[in-house]
Amino acid sequence: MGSVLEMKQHSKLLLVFPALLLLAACGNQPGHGTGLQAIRGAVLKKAAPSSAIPDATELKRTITEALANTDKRLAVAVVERHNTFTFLTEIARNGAYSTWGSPDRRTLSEQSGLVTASRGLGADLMSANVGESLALIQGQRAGSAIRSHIYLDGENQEVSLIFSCSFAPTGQQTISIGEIHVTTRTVEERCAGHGLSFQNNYRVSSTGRIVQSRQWIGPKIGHITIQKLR
Amino acid sequence: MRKRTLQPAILALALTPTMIGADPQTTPWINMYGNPGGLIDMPTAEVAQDARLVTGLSYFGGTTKTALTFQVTPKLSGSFRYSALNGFDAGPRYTLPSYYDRSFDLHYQLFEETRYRPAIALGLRDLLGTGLYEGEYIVATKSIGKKLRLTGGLGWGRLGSHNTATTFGTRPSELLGGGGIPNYDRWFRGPMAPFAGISYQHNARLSFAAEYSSDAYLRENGDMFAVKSPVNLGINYKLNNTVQFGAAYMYGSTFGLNVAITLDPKSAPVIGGNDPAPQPVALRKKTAIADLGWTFEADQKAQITKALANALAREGIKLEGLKLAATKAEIMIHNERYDIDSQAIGRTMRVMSRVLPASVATFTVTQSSRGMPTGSVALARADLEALENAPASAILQRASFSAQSRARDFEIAQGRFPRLAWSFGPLVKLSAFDPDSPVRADLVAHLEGQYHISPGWVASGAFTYKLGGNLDGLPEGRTGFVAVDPAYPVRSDARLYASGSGPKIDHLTLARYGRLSDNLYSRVTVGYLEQMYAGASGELLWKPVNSRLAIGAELNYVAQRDYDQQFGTRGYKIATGHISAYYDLGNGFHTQLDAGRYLAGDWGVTTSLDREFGNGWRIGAYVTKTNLSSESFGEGSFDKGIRITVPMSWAIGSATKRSAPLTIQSLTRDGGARLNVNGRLYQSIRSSHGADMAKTWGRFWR
Repeated sequence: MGSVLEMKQHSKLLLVFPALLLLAACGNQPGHGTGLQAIRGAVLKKAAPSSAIPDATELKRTITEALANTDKRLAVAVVERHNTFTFLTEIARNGAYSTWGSPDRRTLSEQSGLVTASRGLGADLMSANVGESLALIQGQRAGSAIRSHIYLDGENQEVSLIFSCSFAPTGQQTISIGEIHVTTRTVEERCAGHGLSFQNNYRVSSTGRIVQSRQWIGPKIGHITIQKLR
Repeated sequence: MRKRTLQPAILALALTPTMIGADPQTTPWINMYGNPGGLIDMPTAEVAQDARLVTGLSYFGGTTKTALTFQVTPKLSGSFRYSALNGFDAGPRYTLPSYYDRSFDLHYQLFEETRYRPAIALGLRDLLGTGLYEGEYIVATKSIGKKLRLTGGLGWGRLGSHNTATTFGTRPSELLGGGGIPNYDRWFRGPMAPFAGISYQHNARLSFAAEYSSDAYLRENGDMFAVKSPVNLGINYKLNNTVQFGAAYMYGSTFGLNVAITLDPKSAPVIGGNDPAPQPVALRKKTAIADLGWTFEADQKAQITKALANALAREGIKLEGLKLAATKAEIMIHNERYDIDSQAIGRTMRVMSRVLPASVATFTVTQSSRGMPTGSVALARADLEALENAPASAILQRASFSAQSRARDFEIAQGRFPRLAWSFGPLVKLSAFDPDSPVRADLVAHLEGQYHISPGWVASGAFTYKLGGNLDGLPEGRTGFVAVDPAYPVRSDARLYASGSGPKIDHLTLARYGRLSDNLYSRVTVGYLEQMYAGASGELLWKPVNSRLAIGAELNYVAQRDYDQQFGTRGYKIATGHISAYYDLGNGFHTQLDAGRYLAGDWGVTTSLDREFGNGWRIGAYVTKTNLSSESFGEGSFDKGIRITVPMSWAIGSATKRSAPLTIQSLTRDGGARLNVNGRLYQSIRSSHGADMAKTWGRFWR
């Protein structure tokens, strides 16, 4: 020991938290006020009823209205875990992929109806290889396939998860929503890998188009239901 | 780019460790010392998960311990501890009600557990210090089934004070130098005693522990609490992966409580962030690719520039300059939002695909640091189009990194210069873990601004007005240790700068940043450089784009400023400067060596080692040894400290370049002190280079 007295000498600022500055600062640079925005964002998200799933009549009205307002391809999506509902508009196509955007700048990309990427949901699906699954769904055959999903880890490196999936047709269903009025075959995909398992459901028209689906996007996002409207 | 197919951090599910081969014997539990371990007061051979950062707060028998532990590598951990001992008899000259002690530990797991052999670890507690918690141990822990772990060990120092079994020579009692030097002459010497314990993991949330302590608490016994039994009994409860609580009945007489917060810098609360989606890549019409008609239209270029600037601004990126030709385009951007550079580059490239004429086949994005071009990334537009839905590793293979651009090559975007960036708000200046008080703080009003005059020229100022606080507080009756032939008080009078309300000029400078050649960058700063010094500072940095090594040189001539932090200076003037070597060791470790003359005129070397994470977290330590003698330096003998940078984006989930740096110095003294000038070159240049960007390239498509 012997240092009790010595320990009392000079010292100075050992740590400064500029983070605290952010909480209430104003200015013309990005990043100032971020803390407040984040808090406000979180509070508003909880309070906003508009993102909750509307009832059937309300839904029908808004869908009709949305279809009348654009000639683009439209869909509605529900993120189950957050219980949020949104319209999606097809905003870009690139080869076999098309990207659908929500009004609040979240996007889903898909390959003929199979989701291959999400953006802006947090813990996004960065890309996916779903070619084998797609062939089985469109062919409406039973069988098995491998699909691979790429996510980021906490250090922004890509991590690839590979799942083995089995497919089974489960029946028929008629769908009538928006401009879609078709009889579909239903297909179930059960996947497992890396200690995870999930189930996707598809409703496929006679031309092989997936008009409605419930798909697992990732461990954090969970399932999203997508209904095409046009 | 590394692609991992291992169980990723993203998954909440933990795979059960297979018992093939060795088991690292990790533990989620934190003991009363704030160290990873399933017992109470005694160490175990367990380790925390790699990279975990643990803050522990515990109380028992009049002692409050605050500890910060970092699992530096899977086998090595280090702990910094700040203890307040209420009622401790620290000698007649000590007048404060509590005695404050700072200590530092290392714990190293020599062997993992195998089927027949226990895990074995070696530890040094309070190895730098004043010796209050000094103790060494060798400890073995063995699992029996999945729930039970048995620990047995031998302790020296404090851990050899109860029921001493044997004595290994004489343990010296004198400190080496003025304290603060590893007391290696004491380690594993003197009385030795055995300790033991058992922990039972009831379920994922609850564990129990019992131990036989070899610490007699010779100095606390009686004054602070009574040691009636060497047996401690404890219970630990995990609220979630971050927070845990513990309670224990200790030494047959008193209860202890602890709470620990565990963070995992390798993971993130929102992986990949929750920023809005990027713009998709726009494909070109095949027929338009050969059309060069736009190059002949006079106003086309201006329109393109404007459209590009607007589209980039929506992504939080500022267009600083443009070089547009018929088939290639290079733009210089100032990224104000994204802390991960690859995300800024990826978004810029996609915006270019949406705005630039179809004949432009090659995109180059050069980043600007204060108007000075740093690293560039070039991609074929066709690759961008083809690989939008592929893994980021695919486009990384097509990207080429360089650093050859000059500011004069660009047409500077309208409205970028001159411009003023400013902010105003409250700021808390905090001083924690001082040797004579746990926390002191000032609340100040803080106004700062940067006026970007032209590329590379920046005038910068920050002004504060103290609203209240006790940062300048000096406790009554300070007696203190008097250094022999002390150096000029170049830093140790910092409290004097915190007195008075102000207004104070925090800094007021004019700086010039420039590129002298492809690999050579420069900075010259003049004015009121920092709180305590004014003068001129010049820096050169050599950093080739593909080199792990960078070399820097800095030369400053400064005068110490008046305590009121207005325009005046005091008599003390000094030329100070360093040659610095920066080296990226790989695997997330980075080291820096600075050699030169410090503020007190002492000559010496600073060595630092940081572990860097691909999300902006940095955790490191440094030591400075100069030719100032231990006696003149005063207590601590030489300067050393721990530094942690927490990226704000990690905490809030959306991109921001802000971060919270935190430095815990051993003790701020006058030896080994350096100038704090803003805008040092290395980090901003390095982060724009390929090797660094590749570490976080997964964000390119995010």
